[in-house]
Amino acid sequence: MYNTEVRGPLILGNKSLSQITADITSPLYARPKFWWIVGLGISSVMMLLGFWSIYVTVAQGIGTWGVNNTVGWGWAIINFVWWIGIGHAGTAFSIFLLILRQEWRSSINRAAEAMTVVAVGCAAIFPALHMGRIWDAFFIIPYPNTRGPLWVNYNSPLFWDFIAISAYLLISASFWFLGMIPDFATIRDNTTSKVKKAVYGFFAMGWRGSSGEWKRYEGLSYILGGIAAVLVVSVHSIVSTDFAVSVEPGWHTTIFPPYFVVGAIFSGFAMVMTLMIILRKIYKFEEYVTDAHLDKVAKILIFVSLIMGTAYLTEIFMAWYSGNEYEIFTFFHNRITGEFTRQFWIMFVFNAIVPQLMWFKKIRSNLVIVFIISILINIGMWFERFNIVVTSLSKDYLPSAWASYSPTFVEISMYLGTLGIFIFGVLLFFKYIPMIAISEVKAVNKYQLKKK
Amino acid sequence: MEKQWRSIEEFEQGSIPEQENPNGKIGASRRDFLKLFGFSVASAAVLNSCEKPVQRAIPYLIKPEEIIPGKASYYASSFYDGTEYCSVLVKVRDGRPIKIEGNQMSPVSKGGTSARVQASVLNLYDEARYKEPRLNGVEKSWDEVDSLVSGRLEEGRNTVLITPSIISPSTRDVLSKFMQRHPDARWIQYDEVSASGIREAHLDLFGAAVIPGFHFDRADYILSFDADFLGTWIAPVEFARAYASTRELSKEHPRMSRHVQVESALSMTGSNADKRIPVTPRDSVMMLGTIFNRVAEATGNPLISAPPSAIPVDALVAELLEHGERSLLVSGSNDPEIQKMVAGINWMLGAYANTLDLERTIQLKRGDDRELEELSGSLDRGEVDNLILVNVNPFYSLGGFEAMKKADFRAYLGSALNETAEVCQLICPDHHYLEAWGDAEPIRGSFSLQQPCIHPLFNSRAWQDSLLKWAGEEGSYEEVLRDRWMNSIAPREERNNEQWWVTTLQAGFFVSPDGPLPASTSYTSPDISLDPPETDLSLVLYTPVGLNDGRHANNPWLQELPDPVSKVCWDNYLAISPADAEGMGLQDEMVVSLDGTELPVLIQPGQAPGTVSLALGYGRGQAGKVGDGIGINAYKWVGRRNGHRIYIHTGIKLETMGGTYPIARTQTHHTMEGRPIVRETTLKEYQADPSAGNHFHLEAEAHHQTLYPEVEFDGYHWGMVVDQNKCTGCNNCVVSCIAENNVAVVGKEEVKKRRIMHWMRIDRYFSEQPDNPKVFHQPVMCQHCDNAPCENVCPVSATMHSNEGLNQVAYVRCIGTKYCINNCPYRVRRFNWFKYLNNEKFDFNQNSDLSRLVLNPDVTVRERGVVEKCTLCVQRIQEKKLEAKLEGRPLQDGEIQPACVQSCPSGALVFGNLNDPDSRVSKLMKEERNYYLLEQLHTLPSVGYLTKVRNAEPAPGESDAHGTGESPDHEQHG
Amino acid sequence: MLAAFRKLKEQEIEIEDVFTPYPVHEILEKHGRKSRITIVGWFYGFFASLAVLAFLIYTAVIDWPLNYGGKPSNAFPSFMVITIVLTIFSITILSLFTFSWRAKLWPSFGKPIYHPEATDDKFVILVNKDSTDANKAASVMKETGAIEVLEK
Repeated sequence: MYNTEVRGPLILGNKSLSQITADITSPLYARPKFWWIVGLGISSVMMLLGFWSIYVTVAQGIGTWGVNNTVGWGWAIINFVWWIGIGHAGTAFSIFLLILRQEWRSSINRAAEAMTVVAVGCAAIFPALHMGRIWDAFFIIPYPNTRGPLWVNYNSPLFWDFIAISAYLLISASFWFLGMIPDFATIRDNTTSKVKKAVYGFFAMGWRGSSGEWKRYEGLSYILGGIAAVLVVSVHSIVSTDFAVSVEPGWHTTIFPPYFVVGAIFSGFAMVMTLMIILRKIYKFEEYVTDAHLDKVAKILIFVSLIMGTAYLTEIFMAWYSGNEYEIFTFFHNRITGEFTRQFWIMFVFNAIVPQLMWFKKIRSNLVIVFIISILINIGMWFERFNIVVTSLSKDYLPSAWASYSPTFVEISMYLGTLGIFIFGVLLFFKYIPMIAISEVKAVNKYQLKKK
Repeated sequence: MEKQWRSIEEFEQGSIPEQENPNGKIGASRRDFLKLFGFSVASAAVLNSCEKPVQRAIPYLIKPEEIIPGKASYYASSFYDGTEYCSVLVKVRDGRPIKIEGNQMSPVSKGGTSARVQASVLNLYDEARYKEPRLNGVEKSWDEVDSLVSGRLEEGRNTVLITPSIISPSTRDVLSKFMQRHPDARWIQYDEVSASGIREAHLDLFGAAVIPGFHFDRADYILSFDADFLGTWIAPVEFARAYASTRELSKEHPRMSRHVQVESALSMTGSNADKRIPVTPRDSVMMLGTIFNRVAEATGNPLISAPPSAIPVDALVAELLEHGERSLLVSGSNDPEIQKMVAGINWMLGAYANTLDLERTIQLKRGDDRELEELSGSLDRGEVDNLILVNVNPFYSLGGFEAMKKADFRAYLGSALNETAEVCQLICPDHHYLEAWGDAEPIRGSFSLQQPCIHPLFNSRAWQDSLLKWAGEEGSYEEVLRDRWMNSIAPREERNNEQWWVTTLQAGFFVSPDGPLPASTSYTSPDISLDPPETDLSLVLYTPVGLNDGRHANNPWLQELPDPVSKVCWDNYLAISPADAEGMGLQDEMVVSLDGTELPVLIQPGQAPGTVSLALGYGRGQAGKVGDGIGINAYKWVGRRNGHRIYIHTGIKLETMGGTYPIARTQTHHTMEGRPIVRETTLKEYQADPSAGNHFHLEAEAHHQTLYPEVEFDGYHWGMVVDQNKCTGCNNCVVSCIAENNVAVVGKEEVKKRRIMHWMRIDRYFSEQPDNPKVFHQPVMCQHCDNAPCENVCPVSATMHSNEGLNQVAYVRCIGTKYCINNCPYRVRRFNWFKYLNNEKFDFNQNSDLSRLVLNPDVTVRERGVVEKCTLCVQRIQEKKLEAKLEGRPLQDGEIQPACVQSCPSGALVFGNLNDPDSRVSKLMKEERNYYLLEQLHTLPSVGYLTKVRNAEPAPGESDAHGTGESPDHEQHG
Repeated sequence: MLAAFRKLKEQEIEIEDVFTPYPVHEILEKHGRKSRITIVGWFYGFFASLAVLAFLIYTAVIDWPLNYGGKPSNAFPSFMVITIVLTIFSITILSLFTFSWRAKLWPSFGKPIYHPEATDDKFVILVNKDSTDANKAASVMKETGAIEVLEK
């Protein structure tokens, strides 16, 4: 049923199964490297900064941010959407490629899913903290209460957001964990140290690899796969309704759901690219994460970036074609030209134009350039969110209310804080969890051995 | 006998050493300790028990009959701060005044108030008020004060008494009593901003030093030279109401007055004019001269010698002559020559028979600048020993009145801290007007009463009482007042009739039926020879709508009140015309130096080239924690012209300094971008087609489609209509809303960040001609949309629609996602960015126990992190509904009046029930002029706006620019 | 290894269980064990969606209808979004628990681990020696090239 001839070997160097195990689990036994400790230190400092900003926000109020009575949302929401977008990579990878039976995914999806979980965690911080009264956040849960009972407003995209994000967090986490159970078992059985045996044994939940376990395991992973496939589409669509459901010019557009989903996958894949390049450099995983893999991701990026470009142009065209003066103003006098020109063009160039360079094999195969491009894409995607959130709000219907927006140090450091959390989480993942799905790789590997 | 020694020690030491008894000592110390301990505990307990009740509310032991806890009572009274008069109702809640309302029955102010009047209630709770009599900073009792002062007066020293203009008959009685007792004393009335030029002009022309009564309501043609009669000039509240009545427009009555404004600075009044001509002060004088001569020629009167004006005046003259006695010419200048010309022109046109009135003259602004001149002269010569100042602040408003320090005894009788008081040895706290008895005669023949609404908060005494005491009189001021009213003001048949007194006191005013004395009407034509010098740049000083002459500078509500034209608050600035700014290479907020004083520049469209303007009333040195050091004191540039203070300073030089000074503005974009926001048309077009300029409304109505059936409101459906033709942008509604709804003051920094909390804002737009723009004022409050975008997006149901069509917010439920703010196309929602109550960072009225007494107990003070907005004063709606229910009757139309509606001086706001087809509001909504803000969004607002109509020559092209001139499809994504 | 598996099948030697480091589908299919977890998952979804929809309609329409921006209290389009997501949510949770219950996978250490390398690179076939002829089974395995045959 697996058929990988067309794509050539996915895993190089004819590994034996035990070799695979040994290779992948080696970092778990190795002593932490110097760079690892340094990275951990830096990220912890950033986290501390983040915690400080959180304290200030909660103790003094949202007034410590740059937002005002015209631009009610600022960096917080920008970063929220940005992180959620990045969080899409993992699920997109595992699910779509699982469904499409893209076997080459198996070397990457573990890392991608890990990324997802951490990123979604980071994202969840912002909507929580941008609330004026975070201590009353539980009002958003429709539970029977003594206020009537007063339920919640199901028309509000924010409520959809709330359930969508929490569902996404749970499912991606469980999907990720499920994939790791057999590998934990492997470690449990291989390791010599008592502590590791106990800990991993605990998480392996008594996995033995019996056929019964495998059957149900596969059944469940297909269920979750199917579900999560829906989620990948639904979550960011719902996030997009935060904007699409409103009346603001530049928000009130039907293109938003697909546009957001694609954008999410775009930034997600870019981030995967970034991480994988680093990871294989550091851990010498070239044989598992082959150039072929990165090449495929690069091709996907080209394609998605084309879609992004189309989306941008469609938006602009629709604004003009609708003849709606407010839309026209927002797009032509507040984005393409006007106060926020810079942000618009950074977005457009980084997302729609720069990735097109990867049409050339030379560029695509030069990992340094690819690495830079993947970073640029993430910057571009951040500015896309800036464009959406700030420009529309700052100049909408009544010119009397027009105002500008610039972030304060508190907002910036909160963003840095989440970056810190992200790096921190990824580093822990590098150290304590097999970075590549051992059993899946073995399965893939088997057929290559057979071929000979 | 010789001394015996009892012991060898005694022999050696010469005395028996005192045997120390340790136990005794310990005992003693223990007792002391216990004593002290006991005392301290006891005293602590006592002190605590004493303190507590002061902080908590104490229930009445015997309830005063008129006070029902939780129910407000209203007292008619009069506001007079020395420059502005207004008849008011004081809303007293649980014994403390919390709101000023307009007295609808008053024939003078007719229910209107001004921003200053609305804010005056906060001055009652101002921490900067004097609490005890003080001599050289030492607290004294009133007896000590009285003996001291009477002593000095008895010595017959040379005494001068300076008061503001006295419009109170009974106070004049007090003063005459005082003068009888001290015949050598001199009494001078002093106006911070003088109008003595008008009085002198009328003295010369008509033989009576009066300010005539102005009847704007009778005028078909109003020509104003630099007179901001809707903002601050003489009696703005009265004028605004009269003026607005001539802008009343309907199909039945499609006529309105024409208003032409000739001025240098773009004033609020100018912003409402049908036609505005920006000119330099020199040109305006020349124009007046030419107009005078042209009118004189036409009416066969003697001419004056005046060179012809460079600016054509033919049109103006033609219009003046056309309207004849139905025209009214006013000038804000204090130069008697100009006022003579104005009076002369009005006389020649016959306006004195109609729009002007020499019988029911205005009693305000009685100060005579010449007297002041003499006084400062004699002060300089050291001829004055005792200087008694009453509620005046010359030390500030004469730009440093150093001469007064020459008087060796200076007493200040006034309520609150100011610069003058601080250079006086003796300070006698005066009542706030809400604590005191008083009366007023703002217009000859119409009297009004002022009654105390609260027991004096501090150890203060009405200054009239002080004078009576010092005049050796027994009676109190109240008795003098009653005597005056009972025996001379009251009509003969009512004399000494307690019943009449009570009813009058309730009404608050009385118009003497036996009309005023006939005034002399002998007219002598002025002989003037005009020859104003050429100047390149002249400074125009004006009184801003918020602070007026600066006496209320410590009032945070007024400090944070955006200027109607520039939308700047918390500062004054040098307004400069775009052309001049370009010439000098100046931009907004750049700092220039004027006579060594550094000022921020603001480019003001409509400012006449060759002039810059600067607001008075700022730069108070000692006003209190709020007003100190806000802006620059512009009084130092007040000029003198043959004895009268002139508020123009010609021939100034500006030099650009480096750097900028940030100015807080509540609006930073000033054009409508061609959007149909404020719609306007001209009178002619309106007469031709009532829906002129409003065609877009019909379009939008036609475009309205809905997926869901529209919600029907059974019972009430509250709504409001804003007549943009009447609204003058005077900001009264803004302050009224602040006072009613406990709106927080946030300070300059936060305003700069666009976080002002005002629920009611007045948007101001300029048309695209920067040299002389058309100005539009648009009050914007929550539109209470029936399809409210804000309600859909709140996740926690904190904002939803009431079954009476109100868009309501449950503060306790709000978690502050700010989504509703973003999704409100009108941006009327406000977020509590910080804790504004009891927060040192926001040290305004909500940060002191005293000032918090002004809070309205019917309205929640919002917590940090929640969203708030206009509620259409739901507390008032409920109150009236309850009243009607208790009395078992239906609500009458117009019975419920939100704060903004109640005191609007021009009656531009109408509130009522949209379900009642006969209510005024629903009638107005059926008018062709009516439209809804951003109606193409299909938000279905409950607030309607009436198209603005200008009585101007219809200019082809721009006439309908804000209606159908737009691209046809305004649908949000059709 | 598969050979051994087939042979044992042919000779009706009952196989207790098979342990592999990765899913070997032939075994999973031949070795007579059906997993109904997918079907169960479907039912979870079905009932969850009904429950959610019922809850929404009860709270928003019956219990306390409120007027949000003039929309009818039964705003079905909004309900659909919520229903979808919450259905997904509940399917996940429920089938996770089911999985851990049926596959007897929960944090535990009690289970016998027949061969520690079964999770690494060994394929283990477990035969119950009481129920069947052990020697026969052993021989079969030997000839199909088992690395080692342990008896316990």
